[in-house]
Amino acid sequence: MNSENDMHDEHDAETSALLDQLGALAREQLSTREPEWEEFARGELAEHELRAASDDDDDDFERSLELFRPLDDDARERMTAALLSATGGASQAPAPVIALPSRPRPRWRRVAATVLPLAAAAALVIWVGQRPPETGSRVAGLGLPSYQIEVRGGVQRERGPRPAPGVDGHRYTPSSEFEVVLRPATDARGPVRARVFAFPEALSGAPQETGSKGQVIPVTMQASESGSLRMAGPTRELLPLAPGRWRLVFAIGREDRLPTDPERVRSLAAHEEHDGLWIEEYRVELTGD
Amino acid sequence: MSPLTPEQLGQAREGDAATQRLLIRDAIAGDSRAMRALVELLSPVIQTEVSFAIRRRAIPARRDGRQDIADFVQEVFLELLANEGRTLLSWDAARGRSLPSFVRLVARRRVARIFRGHRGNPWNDDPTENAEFDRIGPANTNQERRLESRQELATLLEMLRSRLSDRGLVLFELLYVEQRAVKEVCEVMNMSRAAVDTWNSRLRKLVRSLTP
Repeated sequence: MNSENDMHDEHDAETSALLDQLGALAREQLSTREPEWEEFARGELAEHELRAASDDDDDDFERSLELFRPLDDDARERMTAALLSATGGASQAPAPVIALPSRPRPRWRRVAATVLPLAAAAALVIWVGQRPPETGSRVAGLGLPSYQIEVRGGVQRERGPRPAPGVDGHRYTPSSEFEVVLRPATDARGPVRARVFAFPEALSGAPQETGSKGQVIPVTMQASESGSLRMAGPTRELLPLAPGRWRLVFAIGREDRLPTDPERVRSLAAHEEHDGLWIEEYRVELTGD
Repeated sequence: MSPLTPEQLGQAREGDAATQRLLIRDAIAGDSRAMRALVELLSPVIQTEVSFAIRRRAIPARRDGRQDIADFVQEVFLELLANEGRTLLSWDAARGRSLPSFVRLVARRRVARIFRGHRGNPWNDDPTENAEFDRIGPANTNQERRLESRQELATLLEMLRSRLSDRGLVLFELLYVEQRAVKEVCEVMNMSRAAVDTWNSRLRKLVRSLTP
């Protein structure tokens, strides 16, 4: 009997030792993962940054690059459709493109020292511009990718219904932090700039009948190498506009294509390409302090 | 069902657990916008697990795994969403894991299972795969000696992950990978000591069954 117990104990000890070995191996596997590859797969590190961070530049590196390259918009769109079909939701309308966390994080997001502190009381919201499903990647003939807009900051409304997407926008006081990021669907492959225009609107969201001349906002959006564009800072500095409701129009393109006349962009539909320009828009309500 | 607003979708992306649960529910209910957002949120997490697993096989074997990445990511997604999203909805932020962390864990198990499947998977022809595993190592030696090869140990780890249930895998990770105390595991998992001991006993039994 004692012998049986001894054998059992020995067997149990072996199992414990084996589980410990397995746990140690699992830890080792995780610890030996190169963090830069994880960042690349998550879309937080651009390819050129990965190349710069890696010691390897051989065939294995190139193979790994293809394995870890984030799925592109088309692949995600197909996957969404397949998952909807599999879960019985295929009859829904086509999915507009929402937030794309896989975009390579621009260098300024990695190294910028001017990170915007958001007041604890302030709401953090992101508004993502909707985009026609067929414009998921590069705009034919332009050499420009399609873009989407993300907006952060603003003051959360304390009561009342949530604003309709893209209609009411968000409310900003002069001291509110305001951040806009325009993200390309793919690498822009060359310098891209944006010019920002503002058009006053009535509180109903309709264009104002009088005094509704548009104006150029004198702000320079920071550009990353991949073509992301960003403006961030206190609202009073970025949007030197009178209190009221404004429609902001972002004209994105190569520098020599950017318009200077607000009237040229006033009626251009957002989330579309127009003769070498990609147009995005966002509505804000500016209040006094 | 009231569709999530763009602001809520943004909050889900920022890591807000409550809106992430709403996002999962809406996606499972067939909301295309929510499903797309879920794909955006979780596919990088799943792809990371898939890519590391494929690379371990592809690089030494000089194989091209690019074509399989999207398929495997989708397969993991399908398993996460199966049975009206039972697995995804079992995530509870109160247990200390973010949604990406939870999905990473589950994806690791799904990936192991996919790679050990029998559906013509070209990645399943490793000579140390399960059918061959019993023949590894000389007979009449103890477990540690039989598993002295790192490759064998890695194979066993993958087999274990592929056989464990979601809860079993979480417990394995907590107890043996993260080396948390049983008391802490009880708290994190909201389980009694007896329940954790029972699961641990099952885990040990499974490990024994997988070793020659």
